[in-house]
Amino acid sequence: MRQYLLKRLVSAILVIFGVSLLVFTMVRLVPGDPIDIMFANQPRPTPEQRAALRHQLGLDLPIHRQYLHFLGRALQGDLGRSFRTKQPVTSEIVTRLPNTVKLTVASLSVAVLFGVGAGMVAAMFKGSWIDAATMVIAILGVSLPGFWLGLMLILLFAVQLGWFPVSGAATWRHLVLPAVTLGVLTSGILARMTRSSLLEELSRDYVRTARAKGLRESAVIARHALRNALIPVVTIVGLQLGQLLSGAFIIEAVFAYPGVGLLAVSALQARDFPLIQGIVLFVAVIYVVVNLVVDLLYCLIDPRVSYS
Amino acid sequence: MTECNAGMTRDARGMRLATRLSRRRVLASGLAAAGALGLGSLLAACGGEPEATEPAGWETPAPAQATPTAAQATETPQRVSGRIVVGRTGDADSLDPHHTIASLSWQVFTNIFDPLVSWDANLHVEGILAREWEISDDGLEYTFSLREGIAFHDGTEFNADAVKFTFDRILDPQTGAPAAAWITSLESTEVVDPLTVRMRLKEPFAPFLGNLCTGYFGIVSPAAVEKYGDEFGKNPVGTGPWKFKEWRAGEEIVLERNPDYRNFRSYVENKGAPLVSELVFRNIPDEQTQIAAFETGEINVLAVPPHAVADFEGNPDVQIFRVEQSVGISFLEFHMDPPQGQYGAIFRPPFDDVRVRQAVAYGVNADEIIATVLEGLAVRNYGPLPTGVACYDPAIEQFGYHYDPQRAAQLLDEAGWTLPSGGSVRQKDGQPLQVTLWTWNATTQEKVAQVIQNQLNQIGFDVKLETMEPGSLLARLGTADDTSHFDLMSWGWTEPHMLLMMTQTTAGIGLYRPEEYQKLVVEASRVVDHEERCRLYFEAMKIMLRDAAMVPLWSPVSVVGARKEVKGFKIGPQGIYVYEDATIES
Repeated sequence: MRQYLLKRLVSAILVIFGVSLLVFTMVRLVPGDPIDIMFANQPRPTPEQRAALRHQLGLDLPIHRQYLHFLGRALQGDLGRSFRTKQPVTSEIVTRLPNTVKLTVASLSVAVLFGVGAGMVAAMFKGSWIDAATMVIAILGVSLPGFWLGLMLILLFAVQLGWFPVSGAATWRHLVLPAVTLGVLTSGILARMTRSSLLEELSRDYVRTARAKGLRESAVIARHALRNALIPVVTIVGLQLGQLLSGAFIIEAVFAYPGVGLLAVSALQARDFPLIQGIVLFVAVIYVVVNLVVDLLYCLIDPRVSYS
Repeated sequence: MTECNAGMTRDARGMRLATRLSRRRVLASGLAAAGALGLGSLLAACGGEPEATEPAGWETPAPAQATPTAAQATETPQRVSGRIVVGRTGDADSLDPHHTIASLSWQVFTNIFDPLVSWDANLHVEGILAREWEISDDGLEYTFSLREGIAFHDGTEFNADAVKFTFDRILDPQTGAPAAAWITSLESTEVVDPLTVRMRLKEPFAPFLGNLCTGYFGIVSPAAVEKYGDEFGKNPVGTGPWKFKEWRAGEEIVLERNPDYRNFRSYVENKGAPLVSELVFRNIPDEQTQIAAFETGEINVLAVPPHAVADFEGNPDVQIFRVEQSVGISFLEFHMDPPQGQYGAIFRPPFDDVRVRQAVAYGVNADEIIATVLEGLAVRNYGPLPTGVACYDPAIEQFGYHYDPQRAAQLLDEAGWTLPSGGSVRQKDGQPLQVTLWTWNATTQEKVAQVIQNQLNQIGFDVKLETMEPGSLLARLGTADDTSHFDLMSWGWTEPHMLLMMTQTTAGIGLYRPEEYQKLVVEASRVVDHEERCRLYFEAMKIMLRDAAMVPLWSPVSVVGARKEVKGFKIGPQGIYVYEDATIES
């Protein structure tokens, strides 16, 4: 177990290191002088101001030293300051994080509720029209473009029916539409996974035994088959969790929901390089950490899994 | 389109800013929506013409009726209630007018801070916090008499010390105020008495007063700056009609009415405090979502995206304002080299022949582009001054170029560029008339460039099109290279001084410095008399047009929508949004 953990930690660090290198080079490959871009909204700086700023930002150093600087500071949690707001990147991300966490929890609940529920129903009625209908909807859920679904929900539930607000994050009602959009998009894949996994379990011997004992079908599914069927589903949930926590960029932008995703979108629009850099790095870390945690959680859910 | 108020209205300010700052500004920010660039605003659609008044000098004190008494200010006939919620695409970076230049910030803080002076409906300067002012004969001393009995939102008193504090703060290099670049001629500010300040300039600088009209010179509360330090940008305190209440990052900024406000703007009828409880700036980046939120009434004021304008026309729930007083100008400029010495104008071949440049000017049908590509959201402009800038004079049209392909062809023939038999590309000494048109890669911009390419090819040019990232475009424009190119560019500024500024950059028209032209615009920057300044600028523009040094095309028009429940909302000078006459009807 300890060795496994160590191995995973090392690989996680390597991944994050790789991402940091990638982001760092990417930002520097974008055409245009960062100083020009910084001053895109402002009167042209004098050559002296330029030189001073270059020095201050470390842009006068050779590129490998710039990277080491960046890495050194990043390790101390200092991701630099946003070009636009002049605030520390870390604090910009941290302010938005609670909103994104709320949205993640809400949309994941929707996804599990819809996804696992639909998957169970489909498996129970395997081969019937209910099964077919559920799976068609699930496929739609997987393949619908998020911004489109979001807009449709806005048009129906906000513009036509007036049940929910279009944008913002002030109350729980603001959370509903984005959470449902994200949840539905995620639930498709969960439904398909639950169905196939449950069907597989239902064909096993222990299920036949349970049925032979005269247990009701609902008890067979709920108490026996489902527990085993959910193991692969948890992996998917974990992956989705990483994705959701890193901010659902497009959905947050569609609903003007002020989370990390919206921050990323405005950073991109403003070419706010330190902020973009910081968010990408942050997203990578979240991903890696969540995946690690999910892997470790397996042994809790399924004692058969061992880490040797 | 429903009824709208035929007055002037205030908030394309935010957008006007988009074009205000030099080409770099316009490039970087505006790309997405050429039509949204630059917008000043008169309500042409509503037949709202600026009231014709007698030409007033810049130093004309505010008319008596613009000086409400405290008694008047407290008379508020309407019930105060409701919120005006303005939808916009992004969030502010700071609300400290001395720390930012972003238009999204300006759109908000300009309601919190009042300046000493501001533009009136006819683009003359009127007093806001300054009651009146005097300019010394040598143009070096500006003495402002301040209004009495005005308090900052924190309760401290507005006086000469606050003005001095503000301007010292702007000029202090530690502050890093971007706007300091516009008043570099200011040497010192001194307090004469509690209600009089004197500003001393290093040299006569006529644009000084006009530059002070921008929100970036809003007067800040010294006590609040002291108290909040670096956090002042998140806790702004001024004397304006709206007080800062709350800022939820990325979501919205909430201002509340300043109940003690006295309004000195001549184009605002309500001389007292705002009639609406709160003014909210809501961040909604996605255009479709903006439109949905506008339809539900979640936001009730919106700069309508150009493609959505048609959808709202005829909608009884929406009032549409066409903002025609713009501070932006789109034009074609030619590849130039820096002059040898102070003066000169060196165009690269084939544009070194004035007849070739004139052929371009005659060969581009700007009206057609406005009608088709821009869907009518621009005003044809024959000169380099935007329609919403003081000294703009439609009479410049007679010196401009009207579409005339025959004349263009004739000029090219005279210049030796002739059509070979059976060919469609003109030649001279065996060389084809091949040129490259550069612009940045925004959809509308690219479409416009394609039409220009097509129009010029019809008179025998062989135009290649090259679109690129704004960053690359700026970099390439600034470095000499051998291609014969011209480019489609935009500029924006709020003061006619731009006629000098736009010839002081490192590429294109920025290198146009013939002695005759430069002397006129430099002289205009030193003459205090407004009429004389305008006359000098007019002469300068005639020279620029004679040389066909650039080809002016149009000033953009923006469209603002207000839901019907927002009564009395209007657009003010240079397109600012005016909230102080507005009421919300439930």
